[in-house]
Parts: sequence; structure tokens; C-alpha cells
Amino acid sequence: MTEILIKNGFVFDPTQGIKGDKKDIAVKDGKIVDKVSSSAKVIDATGMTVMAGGVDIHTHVAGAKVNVGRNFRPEDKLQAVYEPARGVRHMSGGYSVPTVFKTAYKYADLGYTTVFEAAMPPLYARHTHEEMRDTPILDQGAFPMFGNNWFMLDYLKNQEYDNAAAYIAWLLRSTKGYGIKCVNPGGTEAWGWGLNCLTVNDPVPYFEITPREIISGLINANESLLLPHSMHLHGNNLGNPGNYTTTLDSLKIAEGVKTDNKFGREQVLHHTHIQFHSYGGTTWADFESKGPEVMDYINKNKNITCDIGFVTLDETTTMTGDGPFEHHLTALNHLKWANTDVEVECGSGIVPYVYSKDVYVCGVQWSIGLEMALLAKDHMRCHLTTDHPNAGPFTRYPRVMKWLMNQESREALLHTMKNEDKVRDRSSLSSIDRELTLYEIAMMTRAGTAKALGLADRCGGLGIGLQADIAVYPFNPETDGNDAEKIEWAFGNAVYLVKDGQIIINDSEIVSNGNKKTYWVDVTTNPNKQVERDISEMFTKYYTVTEKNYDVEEHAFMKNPFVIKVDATQ
Amino acid sequence: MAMSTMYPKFSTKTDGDNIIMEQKLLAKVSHLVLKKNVCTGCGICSEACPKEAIVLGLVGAVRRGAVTTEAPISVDPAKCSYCGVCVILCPFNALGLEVDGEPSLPILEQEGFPQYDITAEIDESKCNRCTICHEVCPNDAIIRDVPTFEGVDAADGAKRQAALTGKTTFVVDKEKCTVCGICAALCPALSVDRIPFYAETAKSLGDIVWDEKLCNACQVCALACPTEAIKVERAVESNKLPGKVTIDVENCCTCSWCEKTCPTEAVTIKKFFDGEISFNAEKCPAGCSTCVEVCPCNAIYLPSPASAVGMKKQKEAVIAVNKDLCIFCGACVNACPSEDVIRLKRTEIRVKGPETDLFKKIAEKLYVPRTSKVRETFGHVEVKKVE
Ligand code: SF4
Repeated sequence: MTEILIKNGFVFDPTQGIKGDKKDIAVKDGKIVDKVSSSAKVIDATGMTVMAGGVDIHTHVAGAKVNVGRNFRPEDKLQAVYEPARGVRHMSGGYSVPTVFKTAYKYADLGYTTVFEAAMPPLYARHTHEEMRDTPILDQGAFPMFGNNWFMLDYLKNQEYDNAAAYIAWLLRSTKGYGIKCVNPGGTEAWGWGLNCLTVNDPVPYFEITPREIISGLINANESLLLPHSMHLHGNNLGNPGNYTTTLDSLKIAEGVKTDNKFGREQVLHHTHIQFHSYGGTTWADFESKGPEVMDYINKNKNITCDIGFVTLDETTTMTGDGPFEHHLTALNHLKWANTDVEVECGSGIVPYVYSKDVYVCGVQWSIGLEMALLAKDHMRCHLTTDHPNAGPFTRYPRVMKWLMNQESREALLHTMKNEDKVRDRSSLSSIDRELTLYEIAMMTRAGTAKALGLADRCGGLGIGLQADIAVYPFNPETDGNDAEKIEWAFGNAVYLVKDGQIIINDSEIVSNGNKKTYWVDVTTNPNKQVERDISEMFTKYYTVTEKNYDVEEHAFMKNPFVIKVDATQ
Repeated sequence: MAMSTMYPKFSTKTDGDNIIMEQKLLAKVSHLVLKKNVCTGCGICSEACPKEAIVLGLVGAVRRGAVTTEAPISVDPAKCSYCGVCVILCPFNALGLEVDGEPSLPILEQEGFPQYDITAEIDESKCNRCTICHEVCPNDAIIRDVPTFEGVDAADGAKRQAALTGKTTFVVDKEKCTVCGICAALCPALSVDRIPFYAETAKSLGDIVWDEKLCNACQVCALACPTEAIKVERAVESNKLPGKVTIDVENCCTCSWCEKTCPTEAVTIKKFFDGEISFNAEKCPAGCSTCVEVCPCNAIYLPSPASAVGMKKQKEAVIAVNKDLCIFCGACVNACPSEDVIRLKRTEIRVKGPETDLFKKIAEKLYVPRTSKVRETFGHVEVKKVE
């Protein structure tokens, strides 16, 4: 393998406390090393910003619902011109739900190298893996959904925690999944009957388990399995005025739970797109931000991490495993709605959505995300996401960075809003003058996410021995200072991108499709005859596929599978 | 010698919905007639037959109409002795015995066998001629002899005012009446007896003539009268519909649906069997519902699913019976393709007449508790003894 020397850049690396020092980064055999020989390829990063490759903890980029979104929104492609094949690039297109190739190229332009698919229906895991296999460049992993799975509902209701853990281990292995995702716990199962669970105490029809028991059970199972990532929660009551109480109730379930994993992860609960869960008021008329309350709780509780789900004020496509929410949304905006209920396991829905800056609710949603990120005390625990494409496409990350780093740009946008006064009135954003630094942005986009995912020993930083994932941005912190437009442009147009020691972007041009890998977690648990029997019975009686046809075979469906082995036998 | 191979001569023939078993002697012809559409496959005849001439066949398939060429039972005309025990014991009146073309039950005439003691009565004084029993009866055994009324059951039915007995009065205030003719233009019960218009007076004069038989006391005339000159009053003596509702005991199977649903508790039913029935729904594979379809009493049902929030970890049973409606006939046990789901035990047979030894022997067989079994001889129903 080649040696690379990235010279003279302004390096931002929270994992080593490097805050814009001019440093050289040396790469050999795919890893970051101390020094390289004189034959190394030299990348001159003079006057540029150097960071580790970005790590996205939550994005919808592969699998069944993403593809339904692509299928039923041909008009989405009108928002972005198709790019023809060129050099190593395949043809690519799509705006809010881009094709797999566009996903990879755009993430590369953003300097991202690792991207986690946030919601994988276990039954459709093969679809997810086929799309990830076809997504070049990026290292990926996917979170199978557990919060509405019949096995889980039964085991957790009966307090059979060993069985729950053994089942999770089996499912992660079968689906080649990375961690425990929980979407609207119990509520999506209730949606199977056209119902929902709006608080953590609403029992699931038939199963009679509450979201509280599901969340608590999954957190404990996650810790007993010693998984690299924590339980990854999308709570109940998403997107409704007044839902912040449900959010606080959900977060409190983690109180007192400790972690003992070997991956350097400190949280036991990751709450995703927390912006959508921090709403006050009782209706859309008296809707207001409760971002400060929720962020205050998170600031105080070190065993919780979150990502924001910033609203980018675009026309986008919402897609989630929260079936009832999507139906609620289509009833609000009367745009087309797709729904899939997945046997035994989960559900989903898809609805296009236009976040217009002239609609005051959207303006307030936009404010809440920024407000929360600006009120966060520890950006290692507060991550930058847009719940792509739910709050906006990931291609807007640089714009979000601009808003976070530049108060003037926030004010300017607020000023153009039709309901400016009302928006200002309903959140505290306009009273916050904080501007995040590049160092904090690096926490939110690589160091923090990698740590929360339990991947800090591989990526998210530039320390010796880490995987050589390095992005070089055309941004000079000394001279570009706080130039808002420069921020947005620079962080969407990496000049160089190295992944696994391989040059992906050279001089602003994608030159390689890289050698992506897919992470999955293989946990060994004690043998469990009961669970084996239950699985066979469920497949015989309730699944339309057979047990033998369920497994995602690595050789058939995955490109460069990368197994993280965990021993959870006791 | 040759004669003995000729007589007795046995045959089975089909005549429309009847299957006729024939025994021909030199001087006498006996027929056992089975109404194949009436037979429920209960199998009582088969157990009762002193000659074991009757076997049960494809009970479920025949009763659901999947097989139309057979009856639930088949009788061997040669084994049959034409004694008529099956005819007497068939609760559904599906069998008949004829000797030389005439209905005949010699065993009854000679007091060699008792008959079911059935009570199936409607107390006429309580019955208000409602329609429930007639609609609910699974065997069309209710005779509802009540006139049909105009516009509802028949265009030319009885006038609806004929349904009530009482007195209607119609008074016209002559002072107010202008003999305008509006009332008569609205109602067939009214007409104007007008004094012809005449130039000398140039007035509208005359009388309103009313026919009580045609009056509904509907008040339209009184309300339409521009001068409020009309008063109609009705004093009802009885609102009980004319006619009579009775039970055709021949066709009644004593299921007691009518008794259970009668709004005035006018019906008394005493079943001819008493017993116990239980469904072990855990063993029913579901998706079959043969028992539901064969039950002559509509006593078996698929329990309704609870609402989503009403389930509370309970799934409804896949099959169940309403014991109050069951007559313990046994058709469900005969038809059920599973093992041990339905258990039936008869504990009493109500009869009148001489309880002869033959009857006692048959009763013992009918009392044997039973359930269905899976492996049986092809084409013949066998049940499993229990206890
Ligand atoms: S009880 Fe027997 S006949 Fe009735 S539905 Fe079940 S299997 Fe079918």
C-alpha cells in the first residue's frame, strides 16, 4: 500500500485535543502512522482544514423504505439534475432520496467516510445489504429494529431477559446488523391495528407491554450483550406539540444504568433526531420550543447521547419506521403516503414534506434544532444529523454547520421568514449568540459519533493507529475566519479524501470507488434452547419465509463484511 | 328354488331428494325413505339400528354441499329389517317407512317401542305474533299464521288498521267545514257528499262521509283541514296482531332458539335429549368450521375477535358452542376431522310409551360418551368412546 503525507493543514481532532494546529498527517498501509518515508505521496494541505473522515450515526440511505421513497417520488429527481457517468463515477441522481451512487459521492464530497443506516427491517435486511453493497466508498452498518418485534415484546413483558439477549444476538447475526434500534416502541406494533402508543405508559394492544418496559428492557439487553453501540432510540409521540414530556420520560429510563463495554462508549442510550421530540404547546397554534428543557436534561446526564435531526428548510421526503406518525403526517399535509407493515417485526411509512421557511411551524422546528445544538455543553454527546432525509437531505450538513458557526447567517435567515416574529417568539434561538467552533463541529460529526458507535478505536480521529480516513477541506481558519458562505461551500467540497489509506478524492475529483466495508456485530451468548425453539416455531407458524431463507449470507449480500466479535457468554 | 333367489328382492333407488331402500316380498313391499337434504348426519339412526344396516358417510362434505350425489348416511337395503326404529328415533324427520306404499310404523302400533317426549309449545296468550321465532328457527318449524299486510309483506295484503282492534271516531265540526274537499282528496276513507252547486245559493254545501274500515287514524285529514274542522280519535282495545303462531312439532328439533329469543317468554321447549357437550378449542386446528356448518341447531360458533385494545394477552377460542342451544345430536362429533376437540355425552332420553328391552339396549348405546378420532375406515364415520 502507498504511503501518504498530508502536509501543513490546520488539523482539528477532538480525540487528541488538536484545535487547528498546523500538523502533518502520515498514512501507511491504511493506517495513520507517526511518519512515512520520503517516497510517500504528498498532499499539500496548506491553508486547508484537515479532519478525520466524517462518521454519520443516523441516516436513511439503504433498504426497503428508502427505495420506496425513490420509487414513489420520481419528481424528486427534478430537484437535482442527473449526473452522467464520468471517470470512476457511475451515473447518479435524486435529491432528497438520492441513488446509492449519489449517496456515496455526496458523502465523499462532505468528507464523510462512515455512514450508519438507521432503520433496517430485519425481514428486509437483504435489501438493505444489497444497497449498501452497491454504495461505493463508504463504510457502513445498519441498525435492525427491535422496538416492535413480537419476540421482544413477549420476552420483555415476561421479564425473560436472557431470552431477549439471546434473540437479539441471533437477529444481529442473521441480519448482519450492528446494534439495537428502537423506533416508536410499541407504537408501530399498535399501528398494525391502526393505533399508536403516545406515552411511555400506553400498553401495546394484545402484548400489554408498555414502551417504558420495552425501552428499559432493550437498554439492559444492550448492556448485557456488551455491544459497541448503545440502544438507539426514536421515542414515542414524535412530532407532536407537547411531546417533550414523553421525551424526558423516555430519557429518564436510562437513569442509573451503567455501561461496561470494551469499545470506549460511555452512553447507554442514544436518542436520535431529538429536535422532533422537543416540542412544547398543546396544538400547532401554541406550538413552541422545549429544546432547552430537553438539552438541559441531556447536559446533566452523561450516559445519554443524542443527535439533532436539523431541519434544513427543503422539500424532502420523510421515511421512518414510525408508521402511525407518517399517517398522521399525510393527514396533515395531504401528500402521498406509503406504508409497509412488516410481519412480526416492525412497520414504516413515507410521506413527502415541504419545510418552508414561511410556515411558522417549520421555522420553529428549524430554530429548535439549532437552539439545542447551541445549548449543548458536550458536543461529543450531541451529534449533527438531519435524520436524512426526514428533516432534510444530508447534503445540507455544510449549511447546518454554517448556521451553527455563524450567528449572522441565522439572523439573516430569520429575517427573511414570513412569520419572523412568531418564530423568534417561540424559541430562544435569536437570544443565543454562541457560534460553534470547527473543533466542536468535529466532535459533532466524527469524534463524538465514532465514540458513541463504539468505533473510536477505528475512526473519527486522527490518532496513530486509527484507520486512515481523512478529509481535507478548502477552508483556512486563519483567513476565512467566519465567512458563512465559505463555510457552507468548503465543507461540501472536500479537496482531498482518504479512506482506509486510499485516495478517494484527489484535487476535488473523485478518483476511486474505494473499498467499502460493512460492519456487523457477532455476539456470542450462552446457548439457549428456548429461544431456538421459539424462533423455529415463529417461522413455522407466523413468518411467510422459512428460517433457512432468513439469514443474510455474507458472501452473497455483502461487500467486505467486517465482523466485530463480542463475547457475552457468562 | 329359483323363487328364493328372486325374493326377497332388495334395491336402492333415488327419486329426487329421496333415497328409497326397498325390500320386496311376494306379497308385500317395504320402503325406507331417506330425505337426503333433511338428514343432518347426526348418526342416531346408525347407533339405533338393531341390524347395523346404517353407516355414516361424508357428513361434512354432504352437509356443506361439496358432495351432492350422496346422503350423510347410507342404508343397506338387505341388512335392513324395515322395523322403523330409525324412523322413530330420527330427531329431524328425515326417515320414513312405507308398507305397500302407505306410511306405516307397525312397531309403534304394536307398542313395541316408545317415542320421543317432546314439549314444544307457544302460549298463545303470551305470544304477540312478533317475528323473532319464525326467523330464528333453524328448521323452519315455526308456523306463523298471521295475515300479511299491505305494502310490507304484500301489496294487496290486509289493511294495516286491521292489525288493531278498537274504536275510531271521526267528527266534523259542521260550523267550520267549508266542504272544500281537501280531506277526501287525501284519503280513501273520506268522500264528499256534495249538494250540487247551484246559482241560487252559489255556496259549497254538503257532508263529509267517513268509512271506519278504511281509516288508519293517521290524522292527515285533521292536520290538512284548512279550517281545523276535523277530529279523529282512536281508542285501541288490543294491539295484538291477528292470527296464531305455533310450532310444527314434527319438524322441531327442540334446540330452543325460539324459547331463548322470545320477547314475551311464551315458548316452552323440553329437549328430547339431555347431556353435556364441551369443546377443547386448543385441539381444533381452526380454519375448518365444519362443525358450525353441520350443526342443525346453529349452536356452534366462531367466537368474535376482541378489539385490539380488548385482547389483553388473550386470543379468542377458535371454536365454541352454546350449550343451551345444543340438542346433543352428535352431528358435530361425526363431522369433525380432528381428534378430541368435541366431547359429547347424552345423559337422558325423554320418551313416552313402553320402554322395551330393545329401547333400553339402544339407549345404552346412545349414552356412550364420544369424541371424534382421526384414523377411521375410509368412507365410514367412526367415533371414539371416552371415559
Ligand atoms: S371442532 Fe372440529 S369440526 Fe369444528 S372447526 Fe374444529 S376441527 Fe372443524
